[in-house]
Amino acid sequence: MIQLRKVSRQPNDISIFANHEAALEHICDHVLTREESYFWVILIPRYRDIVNPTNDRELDILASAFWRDQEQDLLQELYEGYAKVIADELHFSYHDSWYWEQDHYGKSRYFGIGLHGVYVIWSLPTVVSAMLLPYAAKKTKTSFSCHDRLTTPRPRRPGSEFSNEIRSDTEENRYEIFFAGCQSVRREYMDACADKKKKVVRKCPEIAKDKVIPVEDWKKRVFANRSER
Amino acid sequence: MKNEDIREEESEILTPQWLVLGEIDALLSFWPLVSGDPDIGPRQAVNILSTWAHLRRFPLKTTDESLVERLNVLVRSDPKQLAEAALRFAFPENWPESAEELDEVWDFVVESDQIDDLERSVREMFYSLDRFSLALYAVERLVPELRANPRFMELRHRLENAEEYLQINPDVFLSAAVYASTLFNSYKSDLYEFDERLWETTLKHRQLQELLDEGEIPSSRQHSPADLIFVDDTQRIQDSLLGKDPSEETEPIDVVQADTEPETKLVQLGPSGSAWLSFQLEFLLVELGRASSLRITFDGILINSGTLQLISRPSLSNKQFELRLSDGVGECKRSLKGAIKPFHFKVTGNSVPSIRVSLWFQGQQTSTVKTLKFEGNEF
Repeated sequence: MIQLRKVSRQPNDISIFANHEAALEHICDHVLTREESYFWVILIPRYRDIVNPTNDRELDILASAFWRDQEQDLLQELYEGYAKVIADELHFSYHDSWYWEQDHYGKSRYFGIGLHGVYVIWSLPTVVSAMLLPYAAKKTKTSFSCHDRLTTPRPRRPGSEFSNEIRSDTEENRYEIFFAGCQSVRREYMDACADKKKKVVRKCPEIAKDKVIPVEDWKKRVFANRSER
Repeated sequence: MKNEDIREEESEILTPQWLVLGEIDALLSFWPLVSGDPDIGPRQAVNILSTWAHLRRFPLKTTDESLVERLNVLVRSDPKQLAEAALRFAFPENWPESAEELDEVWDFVVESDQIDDLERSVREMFYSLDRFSLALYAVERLVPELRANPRFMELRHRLENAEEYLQINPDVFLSAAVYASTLFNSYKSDLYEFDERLWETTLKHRQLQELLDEGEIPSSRQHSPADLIFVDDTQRIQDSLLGKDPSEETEPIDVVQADTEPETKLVQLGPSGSAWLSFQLEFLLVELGRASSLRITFDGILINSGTLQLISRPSLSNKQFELRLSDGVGECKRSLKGAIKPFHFKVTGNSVPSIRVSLWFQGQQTSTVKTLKFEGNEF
């Protein structure tokens, strides 16, 4: 079972996913599915030592093992990397107010992004989803039940337009992820505000008015943040 | 609302112009670092060219001239380098198939988070198409000689297929309609006169806006579980899904009018031994695209090799739907989104004494919306 991490917030800590199954679903659907996997390998330090993000067969075998309660140490390691990025994004989102709030069937739901470019959706007290939105694979026709996951551990349709080369951890590659994430999240924010049914209860002047951070400023802020933390 | 409140509200809204303008500094800062990078360069070239083209859709006075000028300088300095780099980034050949598959997923999602996820994917697909269409327009305009380039022609072919798919199936992109409409409303009103080719790239925006107007439904979220509109016991099912006590008062909802008496129609047999059967379902299809489905049942007759064509928009080309046949009952299970829809059926085979249209929810029939009896012909 995954040991879930929490981010300290007042009045309640935010758990990075509600339970083992939710965390595993998101790891399989986002971290271990192309095209996102091409980019998560840059953000999660030990990813490439665990599995090749460009090889669907390897990804399937590993995901299948996870759903069968095997390779739990590797699962925990992947989770730790994923959770660290999510925790960073929550920190950035709150610090820079890069998030907005919607009424989601009577409960607060928050949507934000940080300097990694990861779109995080959370409620209080759990992270609901975290993804590289522009690269996220699409859902396919499944019932999404746990039973199905044993036969189809990664049900989403992988993207097919990328090369098989594993991308390295460079500032340029990281900034590309950040920039693409900002593009998508700004559009989502505009859409949410325009759509009265989405009930935005806390708007985000920072997303509305700030420019997307240019690369040199982004580097400084990432560096400053690393020092701070 | 006081003036200060209005100003504050406006300052919190991301305008379509600023959505585009706000990326320029980032694009300009990044391009010199990655223009020669085989992985990042092509994608950023698409971003730069699509941004440049997108700004041309807006009225001049609503854009920040200094930012636009800086982008113009970059684009005009070496348009061929940008265009050639952009053509190296591929638009997915299977984009229409992906959209079709995505549309079919609606039948399998129930939870609100899954619905949100699906809607985001739809918007991403729309955005991707628009971005590439704009970039291709920019290539064409800035470097006309590249129109003979095989990569250009291949990209154009893929984009034409995708745009055509959207034109035929706008309802698939309903989740992007608010976004598209918001953009469309901010574009030049005389865009056609300004640049016909650029205007063509906004036809999809207009079509989605019309879809919103048709249904007078302001949001893709019309399909959310909270807005289910059915007849009979569907409200009870909805309440149980939402964890509500059935005795609690619910907000008034529109109600689908179910037919009690079958409607009788005369049909004329065509020379090929088939006939067109058409009718209009006069109800608001508000939740049919999600956990529910509309089933069209041919009562008590045997269709050996039925071909059913369902045309959701008669002005557009036909859509083929597979008929699943079992024990003499033909069933067309298909999610529908939108408002009032006309349906036209072409049935080839044996006689069709009646057609029953019913609403199903999570595998259970909840109501019969319409029953039609057809008389006057033998098939």
